[in-house]
Amino acid sequence: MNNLRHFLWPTLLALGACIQTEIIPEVLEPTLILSQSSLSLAVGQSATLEAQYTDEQYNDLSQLITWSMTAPQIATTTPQGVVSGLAPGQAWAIATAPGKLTDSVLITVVQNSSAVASVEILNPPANMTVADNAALQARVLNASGQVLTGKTVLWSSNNAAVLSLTPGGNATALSAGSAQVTANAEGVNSLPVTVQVIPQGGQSRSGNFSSNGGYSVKGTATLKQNGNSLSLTLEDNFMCSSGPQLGVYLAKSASGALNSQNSLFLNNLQSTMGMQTYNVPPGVALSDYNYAVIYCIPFTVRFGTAPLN
Amino acid sequence: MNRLILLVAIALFANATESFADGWPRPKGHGFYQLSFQTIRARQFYANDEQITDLNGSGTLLSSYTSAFYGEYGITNRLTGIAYVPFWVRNTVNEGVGEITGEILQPGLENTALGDIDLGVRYNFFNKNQWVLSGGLTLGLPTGDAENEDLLYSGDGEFNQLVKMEWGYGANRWYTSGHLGFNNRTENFSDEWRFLAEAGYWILPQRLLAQARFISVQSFNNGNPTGSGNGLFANNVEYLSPQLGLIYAIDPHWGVSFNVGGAVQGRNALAAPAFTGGVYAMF
Repeated sequence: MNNLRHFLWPTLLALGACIQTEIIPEVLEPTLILSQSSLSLAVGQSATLEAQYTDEQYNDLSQLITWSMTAPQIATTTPQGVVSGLAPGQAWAIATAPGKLTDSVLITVVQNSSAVASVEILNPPANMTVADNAALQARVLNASGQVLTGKTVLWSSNNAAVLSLTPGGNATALSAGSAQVTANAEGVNSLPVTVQVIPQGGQSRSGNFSSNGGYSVKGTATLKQNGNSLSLTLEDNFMCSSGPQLGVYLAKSASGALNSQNSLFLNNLQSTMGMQTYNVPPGVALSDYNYAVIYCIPFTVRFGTAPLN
Repeated sequence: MNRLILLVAIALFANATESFADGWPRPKGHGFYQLSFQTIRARQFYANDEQITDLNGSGTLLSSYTSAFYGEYGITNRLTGIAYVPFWVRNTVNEGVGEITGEILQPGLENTALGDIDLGVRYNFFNKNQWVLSGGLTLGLPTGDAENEDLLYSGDGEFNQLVKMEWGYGANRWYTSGHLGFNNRTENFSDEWRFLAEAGYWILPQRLLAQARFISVQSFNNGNPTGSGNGLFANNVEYLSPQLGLIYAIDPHWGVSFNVGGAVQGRNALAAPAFTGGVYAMF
């Protein structure tokens, strides 16, 4: 009986084998986020611009942001973002954060409350296909946010070879590329809107998979824009090691574990061989992600990564 | 996922550590019985290219625990029956939470199941001048869980047929033994060479035995390179594993054992030491 006790301890030890929680280091992309993209001021009026900068460790280092102004005769700013209107007109307030991160706020200085303070482009098309036409619309507002009617809006494109615009706002997509569209009323510009023009038959980015972690993933991934729909296709030459719960992702980086901030889950892998297509949710642009990844979801292991060139 | 590949590798050499003194038959009606507990906790593994690699992007801990019975019984003076029964195999992966986002980057995983049972025989055909030579056959039954959704397998899901030649030489206070075997595997798993060499020295005669052991498993790489048809990854496992052990005999019938070993080179094998403790009886 005494000796029998020796047989029990291994099993008792084993019963203590529980799952524990570990904290995993993360490295995120530094971000600079502005609280607004435009601001209207009266001459002599001041306001404070706000922005947030977070580093790779998600530390809030907003105090490191410095502000400057492109047209100091229109408006001035302190490095801390206190803006003062000097004369009617427009200028850009530039926020600069460590790592050369920049973003800007369109400052419009008006003489009085009835003057045009801002122009907004309504429902701008993010994508157009070559030969498409679109009638663009905008509204004009004063400093109080009231819509001003009867104002003439003039339209312009910074790349007429890609997108031509009549002064009345009729846009024609001419060739593949991107163009910035601006609406102007009484000398006040809207925030520019970027329109991607896609060739007929679609526009795409593609690259070949390279294997990660001893697994084998071969073949080509193609991210294709066709009209307003975006899809990822694993081509005929695709071949992948088998594994449990393999997922197809779009990712921002070439390595590391995937999470909701640095990647987008498309769907479970349909097959380890051959052509297959995955729809990308609306709102994602062709340029938002730079890699296609085959990822083992339960073990957070990359099987293969393809750069989207 | 690679972690799980390796659990099978560990199970493979776990039973190799259970026995000692290959080659010698048990006298008719006599037996050796051992109950053991083995633990391996790893964050890295030997990848397919033999490089030590983090188990996954998040690097959380993989733990494997095995409670097993090992027995040898003399059916005749030349024929010994052998059984290895890993009756409690538990594998866990720690949950990993991102320190910044708080997201669960690695879900916690666990599986507890029966392992792969080995049944075998040893037939002694030479026993003279302290030398023994025996032939052995071990059948690895796919009794473990090889279909766990989280890949926390307790078995490889295939039927092993290990044929081996065993030898031994015993002197007054020391012995040496070993085996060379060929393991035929099913389900598109690669066949293997298995080699074990062992030496033991009685530090305290009939009381305290020290052991050194060297195990090698080399794959023929003639199976499915990415695993078996059911998606397993426990294929083409290779390792070289030195091990050290101590056996303390409480009396002529009872004793305890301790063993530590790990792979110093390998493919698809955990890069962490395995610790085994056991209690044995001989009647």
